[in-house]
Amino acid sequence: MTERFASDTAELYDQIAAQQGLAFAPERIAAAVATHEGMRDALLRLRQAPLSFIEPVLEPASALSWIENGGVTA
Amino acid sequence: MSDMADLTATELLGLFAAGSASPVDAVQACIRRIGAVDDQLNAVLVLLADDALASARESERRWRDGTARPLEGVPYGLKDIIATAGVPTTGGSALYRANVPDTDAALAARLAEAGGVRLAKLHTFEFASGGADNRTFGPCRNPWDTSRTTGGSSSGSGAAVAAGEVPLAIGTDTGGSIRIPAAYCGITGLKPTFGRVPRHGVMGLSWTLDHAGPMVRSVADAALMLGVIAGRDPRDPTSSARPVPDYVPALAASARGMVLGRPRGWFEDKLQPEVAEAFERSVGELVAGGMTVVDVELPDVELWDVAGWSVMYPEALSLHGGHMHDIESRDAMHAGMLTTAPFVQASDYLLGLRYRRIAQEQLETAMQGVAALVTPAAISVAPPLGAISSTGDSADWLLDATRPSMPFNYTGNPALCLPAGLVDGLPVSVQLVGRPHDESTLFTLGAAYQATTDHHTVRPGLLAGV
Repeated sequence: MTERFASDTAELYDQIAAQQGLAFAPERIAAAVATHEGMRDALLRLRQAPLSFIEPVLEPASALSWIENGGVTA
Repeated sequence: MSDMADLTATELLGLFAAGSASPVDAVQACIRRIGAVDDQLNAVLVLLADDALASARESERRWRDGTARPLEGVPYGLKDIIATAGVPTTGGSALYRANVPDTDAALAARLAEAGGVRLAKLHTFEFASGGADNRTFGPCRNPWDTSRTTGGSSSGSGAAVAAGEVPLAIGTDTGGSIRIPAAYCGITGLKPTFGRVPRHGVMGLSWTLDHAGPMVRSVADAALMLGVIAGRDPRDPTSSARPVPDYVPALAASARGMVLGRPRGWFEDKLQPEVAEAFERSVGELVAGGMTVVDVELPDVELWDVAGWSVMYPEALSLHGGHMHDIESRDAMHAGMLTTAPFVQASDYLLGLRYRRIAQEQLETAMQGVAALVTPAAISVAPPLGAISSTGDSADWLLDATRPSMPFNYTGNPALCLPAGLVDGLPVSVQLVGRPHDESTLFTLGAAYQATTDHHTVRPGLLAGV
């Protein structure tokens, strides 16, 4: 993560927090930026996962059904 | 007879049944142990000695009368996010220091109805958020090295069981909070299938990921305890309606010829080298015990992990949002978790929920032909208390520490943590992951491992002088 990116993101996070009526210490914002930056590559990949919009969207029900069914896809 | 505080619940029940010892003896032994070591550990937040002795006397009567129940007279402790009627339930937080519920959590009531003797409420990190410190109650210390963390957030449950303060404890696990302290403290811990144990009365962190389960000193005790606490409770609509099997027969089933899948990759990429060597030895022990270990592929598990966090952060904020306006009064990891949450997009939270079903299908495919998966239970031995960031930055420690565990909070599969030896005097462990509602297979495998190894019987050096 570049210093510029971190600084810009921290400013953005500050603004998002302020919009929600929240104010965090700079070290909290820095920690949040670092956490999200650490997850960013995987999250971008996750967003590419093909999820159907044709089949019924029932979450969390279908995940719970799989568990209740012993981990077997019906 | 060795000190009764060092016996497992199964061993205690055998002595009670034979009339060679009594529940009062067992409770007194645990109280003595707490008195001897807890100043060094800080595992016990509330000691219920008088109530426990009264319950133990009632248990003695039941053993004499032939009306003993499954846990009759066995002392246990509860992580202090589990509601206990008339007894403080602090959540490890100053905010709930005076909180006294008027109803037992479902699982707490079941333990009592099964004859268990409630002896202590146990340390936890604030609202089960992970970390190492607790500014209200002080840190809980690892019995193997009191300068190190127990892991958490079931910190007191891990330390108390390892140190012989109680033979049985309940922990909770949202991203690894049963399995990490079990691994760091050298005990057996089970995160059951999602929904297997009702969460009524358990303070929530993330309703999609929260589980409660046994933290004990043997697989046999895990089977015994799960049989008591599992089963539907209408007050937790996510609890499973499936019948609860008798898990104990699974302990005697043969594991010879069973096949374990080893996913490597994500689960082994960041291991401390000595932990990696110990894990290889554990795999060798499983093979020597007659099991077969084969490689399986889970190439997208990194996505499960990030999806899990994308679910946990917003759900934690939803539950604990009332703490946001005084966040610096909260402990480091709880504050860090909550201040990370507002920057998760709603669409990513929903993506995390929807992708869960895809992850489950990937796991189902990977587990075809294998009885369970085997992975390390933790990527390192217990770190020094001071090594875990006090800023609440979860990027470094928490995300790495939960690497082997979080994926199965996300999919909901049961996972059993087993002691697997020592590295430089500190415990290391393996994790077995089963199919949903197939804890019995994990008990068969775990019992076979503990029948051919003695890692679970090794006790911390702290106990040598007591």
